[in-house]
Amino acid sequence: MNIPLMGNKNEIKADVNIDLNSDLGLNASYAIGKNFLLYADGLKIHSYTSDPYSNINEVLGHVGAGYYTRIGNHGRFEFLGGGGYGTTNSTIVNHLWGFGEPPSIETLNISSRLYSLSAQVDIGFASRYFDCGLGLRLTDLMPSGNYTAIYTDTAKKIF
Amino acid sequence: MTGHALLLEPALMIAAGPENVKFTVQYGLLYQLDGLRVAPNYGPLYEDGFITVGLTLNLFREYIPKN
Repeated sequence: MNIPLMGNKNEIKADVNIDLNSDLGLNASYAIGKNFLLYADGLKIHSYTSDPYSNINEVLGHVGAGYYTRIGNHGRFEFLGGGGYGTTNSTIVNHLWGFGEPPSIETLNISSRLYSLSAQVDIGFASRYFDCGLGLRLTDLMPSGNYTAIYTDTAKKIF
Repeated sequence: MTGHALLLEPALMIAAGPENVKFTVQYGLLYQLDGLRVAPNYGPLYEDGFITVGLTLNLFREYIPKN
């Protein structure tokens, strides 16, 4: 997640990050005004497990704008909002066990474009050598594509 | 595939290092509050947790006016 914690006009931050699955993230933000910022972020996910089988490939990009302000010298508060676009091409095997449902093995195949709208609030502390922040993002993710579920003995399209 | 997934992502970020290049660690969670299901009557399609490490470059140099 992009948590810029801006405090000055003309501040530019860029970061590259990676997780334990080698998923790659890129974030950039620019304080275009005294209390106004622009931001962009991107995420490339490739996750593979053999048992249960899953092969998830997603690319998501997101751009937006926000309001930021200082709380004292080192406190930071910001509110961000934007939209995004991406694609997913994934296969996931689920072992379904539900109350009142017959157990079954489901193979999900998802090939879809992804559209998103999000709002985010960040609060944090920033100084010359140390920053920390807490971010909370609410996203409405809207896929548009093929989603098929194949069960152990039947195949049906559920959307 | 139509519909939507309403996602809530809390994340904690800590960054430390020299003024313009900081080493960053982020811990986040992904909850799906509403929307798409793995299958009808089953759980949410999106749920995850993540720890990322990275580098943050801050290109800002504070302007100090000369007297």
